[in-house]
Amino acid sequence: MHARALRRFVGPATAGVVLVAILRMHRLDDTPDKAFEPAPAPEVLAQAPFRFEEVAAQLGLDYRHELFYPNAAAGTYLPLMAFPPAVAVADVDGDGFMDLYVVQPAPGRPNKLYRNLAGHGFVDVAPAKGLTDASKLQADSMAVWADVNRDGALDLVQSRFGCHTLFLQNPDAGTFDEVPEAFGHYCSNPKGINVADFNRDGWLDVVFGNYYPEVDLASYLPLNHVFGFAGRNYTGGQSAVMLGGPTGFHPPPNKDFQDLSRLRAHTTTVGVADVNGDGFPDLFLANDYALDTLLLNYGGREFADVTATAMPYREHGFSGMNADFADFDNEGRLGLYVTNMYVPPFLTAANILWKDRGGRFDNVAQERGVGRCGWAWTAKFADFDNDGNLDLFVINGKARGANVHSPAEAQHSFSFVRNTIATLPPDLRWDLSLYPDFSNFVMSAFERNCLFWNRNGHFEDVAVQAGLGDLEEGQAAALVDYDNDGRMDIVIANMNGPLLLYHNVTPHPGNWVGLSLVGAPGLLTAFGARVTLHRPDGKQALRELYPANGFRGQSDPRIVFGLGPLGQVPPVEVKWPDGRTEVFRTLTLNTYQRLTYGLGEAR
Amino acid sequence: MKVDPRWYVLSNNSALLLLGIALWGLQRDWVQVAFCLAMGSSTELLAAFAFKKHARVRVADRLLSAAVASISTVVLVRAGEWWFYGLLVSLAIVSKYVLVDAEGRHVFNPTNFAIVFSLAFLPDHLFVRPDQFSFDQSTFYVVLPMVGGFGALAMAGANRWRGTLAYYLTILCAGVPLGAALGLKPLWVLAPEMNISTLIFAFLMMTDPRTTPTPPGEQWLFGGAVALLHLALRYKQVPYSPFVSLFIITGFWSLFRTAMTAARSRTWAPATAEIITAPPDANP
Repeated sequence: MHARALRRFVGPATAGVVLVAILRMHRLDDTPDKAFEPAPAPEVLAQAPFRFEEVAAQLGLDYRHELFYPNAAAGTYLPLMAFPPAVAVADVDGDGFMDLYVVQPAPGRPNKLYRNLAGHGFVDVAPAKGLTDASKLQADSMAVWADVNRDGALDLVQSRFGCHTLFLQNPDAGTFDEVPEAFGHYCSNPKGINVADFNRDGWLDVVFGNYYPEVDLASYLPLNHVFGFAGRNYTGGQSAVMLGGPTGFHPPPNKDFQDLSRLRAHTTTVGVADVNGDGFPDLFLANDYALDTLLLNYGGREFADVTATAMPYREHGFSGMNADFADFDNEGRLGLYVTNMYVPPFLTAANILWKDRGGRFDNVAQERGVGRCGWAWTAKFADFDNDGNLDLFVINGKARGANVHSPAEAQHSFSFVRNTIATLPPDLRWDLSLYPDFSNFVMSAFERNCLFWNRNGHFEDVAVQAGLGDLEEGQAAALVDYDNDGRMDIVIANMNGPLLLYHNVTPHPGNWVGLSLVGAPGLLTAFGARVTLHRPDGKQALRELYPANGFRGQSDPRIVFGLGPLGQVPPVEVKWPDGRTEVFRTLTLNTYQRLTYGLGEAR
Repeated sequence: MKVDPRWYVLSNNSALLLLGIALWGLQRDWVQVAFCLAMGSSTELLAAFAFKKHARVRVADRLLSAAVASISTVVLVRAGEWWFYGLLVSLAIVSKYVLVDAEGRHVFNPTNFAIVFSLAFLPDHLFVRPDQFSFDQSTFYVVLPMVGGFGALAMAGANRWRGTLAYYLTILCAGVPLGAALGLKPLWVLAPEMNISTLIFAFLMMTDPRTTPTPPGEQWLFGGAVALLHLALRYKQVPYSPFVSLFIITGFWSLFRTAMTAARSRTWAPATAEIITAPPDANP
């Protein structure tokens, strides 16, 4: 009886299982919509407060990124290998409005310095200022504004895929002179750089997140990682610190302090924050194809790798792109957001939101709703509606072939082909002629951005409702309040696409206060200053000034606190980079104001 | 002394797992492995009890089957969550008891079931991206002979070499010309068949004596059919295409066998008794 019953059951059951499995296979297309968190409920979307309008062309921003990789052998795979754009925001001319510098990697092609015309438009003044860098022989990488020679004028640190350089601003003329020997002819291949005073000597230092090995990229193809896979892949560059001083930058005398990690990871981003609160800036290296790295700075003499004890191994995405520190729970402690790639089923390395539990970090991305946003790059925390809670903006998208201009034109996803290549025996993997032409393929292209609205600690993606649903391949982004209205705007530099400026026109935002921090004499921008706003509800909102955190985007250096319905600004405590702490009271609501070192109430 | 072929499978995949985690950055952790083994073993014992098969096979044999399924699943599937492998292997082992043919043999290889189930129903948790076994030349050439050696032993032990040979011959004789017609170089067609995952598939999974045909002629047909469907699925960019192909072919093969058995029983005899002294049952 039993066997007979089983026989009757087994046929339909087996057929059913096979059929269902076959039918479910359609879910394996890596279409963008699956890459994101589940859509919020309609009532949540209806309540979403944000509104953005794209105004780049209207305001005169005509930059368009061009694909470039120095080795012509890249062929049709150029979109997968090309150097991304970069953007840096600062008030270069000191007129109170933020200007935009945008990097065009290709040698011979000019970078742009868009001067802000009081929030009404932009004009490219790079040629007049001597900042086009069009004569570069090696591709530009990233750029960061900082007053490195302490003369009261912002200078530009310009990293390259090659030998790095510095453009010093003449404080009187406002023009720039290149100082190619400023880094002592240090050459490397960084995707990200950052600025901080690591040894607290009063001079800003530069950290290089070196992605590629120290080779001439003109004769190098990044096949090992483009078509490789994650694991102990330490065939990249060795990240390093160069210490600033009155005569330029030099390697630290202590070799242990210069070479940040013995492991040559493909570092995409270097995040800086005082993670353990000892006053010395620590480092987080977001790495591709390997574990990310958390390095604590002990007294400006040594970086200690504490990743193993601080960040659970299993949570690492092996595709780290972004590193933005933020106190997203208003509890006076910095967390960290690291973007990865979530395009199931080929890539399911979700983004990571590390929450500091006192020296050990837990990944709370999934429970907070910020784990999934496609193939993600830059992410920035900001309080876009000034309600007092930090929201999170993420851009994404990888590459499309030369013949693909719309999703309909894409023949297939390249993910499958890439996986096939990666599993080839190593001897065969380097032969590009074996592979299908990339021209008709896409790789995680046409993904829309994410805008995660912070609703009391849980985030909901409301990007499309907010007007941020473009399908460009966004790579570099920065925050900028270009019209000084207290609502943070967003500038995005897209891969092989236009520069976009999203104007924040959110109706009915909360009150706010904007702070421009001027450090100790000679430090125009107080990199590393920690600002705490003591809220009436007992919470402490902490911000730390490292505007170049993120991925290839230096944001507006002003700190904006959203205050919601508060009618006055609570006291603000500033811990300056040298350790001095001051309190500033009687601040004015809904304006930007300057907080200067030494003028606060000392504590 | 004849060695149970499951030991070759377990040895190979355990070595890969240990070396992978220790040396090559294979992204699995011991919590996942331990939970998977615990779930696999307990599910095997509970299912045997629930389906009243506990008395027929020794506990040690059942635990060996569970270990093979668990370790193989951890090696061949990549996922981040700690619970994923435990859930998957439990489902796979339950499938052994629920989806059985008229002769009492399970239809699907448990690990193959786990892979296809996760592709079909849990793709958001998968990471279908190559793992670290061929990161560089030296690694690859350590792993290649290891898989090949254990695979040869398993094939010989289970007497299933014809299916594997048919698979590779079909790729060579049908895949290469078809690829040429599509403008693909022969190496592009052949090279993926040499990667570690496919070798594990061809040498250690397609040779599962419980889920593949025993008659030599059927073995040739079976291997060829798996290869042809795999080529079609690969053209359609279905991940894990050899595994999906094996899943589909074993399913239809089982249906065919069941139908034939039913036809025979209507003609000649009452229901076939369940086989209780079957050959080892749990290749990966």
